[in-house]
Amino acid sequence: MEIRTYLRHFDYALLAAVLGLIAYGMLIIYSATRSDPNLSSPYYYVRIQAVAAIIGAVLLIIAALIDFRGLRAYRLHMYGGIIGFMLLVFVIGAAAKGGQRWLGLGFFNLQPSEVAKIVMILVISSFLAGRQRGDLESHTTLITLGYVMIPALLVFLQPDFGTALVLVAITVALLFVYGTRLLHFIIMGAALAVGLLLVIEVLPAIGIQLLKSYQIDRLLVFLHPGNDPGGAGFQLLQSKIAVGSGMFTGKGLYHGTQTQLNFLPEHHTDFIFSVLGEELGFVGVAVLLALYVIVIWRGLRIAIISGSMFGSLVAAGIVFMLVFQVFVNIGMTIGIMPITGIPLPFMSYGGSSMVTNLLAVGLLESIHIRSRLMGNRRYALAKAAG
Amino acid sequence: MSLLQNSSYRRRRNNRQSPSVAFRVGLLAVITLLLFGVIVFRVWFLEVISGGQYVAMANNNRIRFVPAEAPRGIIYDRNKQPLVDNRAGLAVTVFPAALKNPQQELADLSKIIQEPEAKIQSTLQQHQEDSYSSVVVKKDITPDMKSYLIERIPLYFPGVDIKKLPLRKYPAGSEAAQLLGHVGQIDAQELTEPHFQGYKSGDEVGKDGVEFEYDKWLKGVDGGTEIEVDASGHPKSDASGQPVVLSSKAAVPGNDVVLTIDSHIQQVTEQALSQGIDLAYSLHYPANGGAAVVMNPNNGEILAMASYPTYDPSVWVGGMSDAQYSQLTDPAANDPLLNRAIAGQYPPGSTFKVISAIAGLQEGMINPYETVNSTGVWHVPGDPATVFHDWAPLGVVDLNRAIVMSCDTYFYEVGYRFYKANNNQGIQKWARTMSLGSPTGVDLPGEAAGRVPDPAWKQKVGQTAIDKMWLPGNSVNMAIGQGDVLVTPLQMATVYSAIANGGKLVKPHVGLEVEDPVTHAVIHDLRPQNPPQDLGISADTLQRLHRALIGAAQPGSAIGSVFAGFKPVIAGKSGTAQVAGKTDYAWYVAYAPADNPQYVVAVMFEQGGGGGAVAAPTVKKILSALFPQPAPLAANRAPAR
Repeated sequence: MEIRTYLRHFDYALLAAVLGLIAYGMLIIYSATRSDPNLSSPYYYVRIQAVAAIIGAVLLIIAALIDFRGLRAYRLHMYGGIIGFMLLVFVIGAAAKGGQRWLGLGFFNLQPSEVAKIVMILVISSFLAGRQRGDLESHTTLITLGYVMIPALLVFLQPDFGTALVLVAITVALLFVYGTRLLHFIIMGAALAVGLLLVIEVLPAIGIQLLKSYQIDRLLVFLHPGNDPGGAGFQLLQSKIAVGSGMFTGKGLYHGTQTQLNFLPEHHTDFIFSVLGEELGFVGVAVLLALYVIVIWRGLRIAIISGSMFGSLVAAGIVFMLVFQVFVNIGMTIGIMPITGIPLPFMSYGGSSMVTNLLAVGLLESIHIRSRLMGNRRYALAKAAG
Repeated sequence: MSLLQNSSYRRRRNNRQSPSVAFRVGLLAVITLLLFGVIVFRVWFLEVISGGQYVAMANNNRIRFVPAEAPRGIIYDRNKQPLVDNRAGLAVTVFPAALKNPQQELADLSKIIQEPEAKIQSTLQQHQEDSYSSVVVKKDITPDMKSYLIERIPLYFPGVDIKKLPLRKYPAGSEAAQLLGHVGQIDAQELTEPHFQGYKSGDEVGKDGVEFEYDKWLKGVDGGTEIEVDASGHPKSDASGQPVVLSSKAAVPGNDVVLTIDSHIQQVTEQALSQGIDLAYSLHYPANGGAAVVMNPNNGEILAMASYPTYDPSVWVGGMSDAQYSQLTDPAANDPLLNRAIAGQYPPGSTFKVISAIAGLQEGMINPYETVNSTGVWHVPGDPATVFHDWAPLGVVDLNRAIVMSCDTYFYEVGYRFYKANNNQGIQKWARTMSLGSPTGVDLPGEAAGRVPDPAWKQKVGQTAIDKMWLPGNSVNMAIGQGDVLVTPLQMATVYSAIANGGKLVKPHVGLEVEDPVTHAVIHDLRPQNPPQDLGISADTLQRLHRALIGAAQPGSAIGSVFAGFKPVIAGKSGTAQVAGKTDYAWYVAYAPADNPQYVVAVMFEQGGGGGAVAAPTVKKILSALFPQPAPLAANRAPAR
């Protein structure tokens, strides 16, 4: 098929919104890091981010061109591959005595937990789409949970509580779009609540620390910001001060005092939203959310028009992955969600996240192109028949 | 239903997903919108509704105020010699919000600057409200401390800094220490006092003496600089490496105060006082305190005011250690902080007799030509059991001789006459008129009132029925300045000024004028507004006393030949006051020259023995400096007048 046909069926609105977010993000990263005295160049982070975006863009185009439906056949290969990858990093990380979450690839560090998000969307979607009429619904749910359990646990032990949460959230969203019964969600919700209670309250009380104590502090600090003013509470307070002091129009690009004077921690990664809120104010935030709304709107539209259960599930999974990360990240910076270290898609500095998210957009485009091509063919067939 | 119909309609044409999947994806859209709605509302709340509050918090983070303390005004003597000046000191400041590890940092800092940790903590406590200001925790650190600290601040003491601070300097050492007073940080009690209205916590204020009295003039207006700091407390620099200054206000130095004090006379007076103590010791009197006042009897300008023991006021600079403080307040030190000239209350002894004489003459109780026979003892008529002793049997004396020889018997008689006439307010009235029993109103804090006893006072303080009664002995004792009369040396100087200046009550003062620190233009006159007020003593009475006091300073008087050959002729009166359980207190009050008085000098020694033996030679030393005497050899050659 001609490349021009593919290009004609590209969802350009989606692409434009994503490129807009990346550009917006790079502007904010530049503002947050340009005066870092430890850097050789004020463009240091921006340049790396740009390289990641270019790599991601290449992957986006490749993903858009290949037929996503073919991936169904490689479900177990992908699953085994990602688990192996994660185990490898886990072993290396354990050897390095500390929570190493990435694999050095020379020019950049690849985090398998980021890749795992996409892989799990594909794995679970293909599993769910392959279920037959007459299969037991409870089996469907249990096997799905079984699929996600292993990678989620591995990520959780890294320790990366945030990504584990994303994996679980994606799974729940996929089960929802697939059409799982309400009862199953109620049972899962109850189990999650009991699990959290065990991990955070009960097990530490009897001496089993699944989460490190700083993680628990970070998780709970948004409920009691005064508890830990020196650590996580300090981060949260400084973030709220940054956002709040931006007021309606912001202090102006490069003029956020919380950012420029380093009161705001991790201002180009997890807390990049606070920089935006401080320097560009409510107006800047509104622009950001508008861009996300376009991405989500186009993504959900693709889920609806995909023409197959697999396509719908992959598209909906990707969209919900983005929605969940946006909400948890922004919610963290404004004190309504726990501090979990989830990056803001397309905005936060970080190569793995950028590449993965662009790859996900490539999948969306692939679904979009296939559904258009299929629709046109059917339309043509129907016309010929009629 | 329309969504489903719509989807199923489209499905035929466009291969859309099954209606239930589309419906659930639609629900996902709704959930997304809800989540985004929550974000929008929360961000709106933070940025738009409570934005102002967060702007203030952001400013509190980044703006640090470094106060610049205004130098206090200089205190000059009347010849513009600086008595209290300023020098540039170094102070350690702490910016509490920038301390990374307050516990550890303050503990380490405490050791380096040798200041108790509890003291640093309480200083910081006092400044809790203005959290964006740096707080001085230690003044006047040594250069060693500075260099040691400066090296370690970046690494170990974020939030700690060193700045310049004007500190008090005393070019004349301990000269006039109690009179000048000292400065210190205002305390909670002082903040509530009307004298310090409008002052704020942490202000450096005058604690006593002139520093306290004229604080409003001496104190300048503090300035300060607002600088921007980053999260680690480092000042933000601009392109040229200068700290970014957001706003800056220069400190306005305080005004200079010129005193009536003459530094030279002050030195002479202090020296004479100290030598008087030595003299008393050489005569085996355990003198341990004293005071001297030199005043202009015509206008109340105090030229010197000394108190013994004294101390070096520079111990206050930068805050004194507990050891230094307990040394100063130790009873064995006999209270060097006390200004005995205005705050010490003593029985006046025979120096009081001029008041009894004025009262006797003015109230018509005595006739100047009447005589009394001094046999050495006197008793209340009809009560031979109660014996009053004279210091010597002086024979037949009239008023003049009674003063010259300091005859007690004569004044016992005067006191008794007042009692017999049932005039138990007569002497008191004149004592009060001439400034006793209440503060003179000198422009210094802590002045004592002294005491003029009368029947009402006895009624109040007496324990038993007999104690509450005004007895003949009370009047008799009072007439010679004993009993319950208490005066300050400054009050006695004021009494004798009235005799010297023709019967006018002067208001003693040390403040002359306030000068602008830059232009030295006089911007305020500190002298009393009202002219000395006439006391209503008859010229005849004054003349008699004046002549008697001249005689009392001459050879052949009660004090012997202390002032023999002294030029010009002076007038003066000694006093030797008995204090229960102690050696006698020695007094001498004089004015000179007798015919045109320029100076009144009052000297008192606690347990100094005799007025004539110790106090009068001290007055002579002071007057000798004011009226230089010819060398002794030349004096011998000079023809007698």
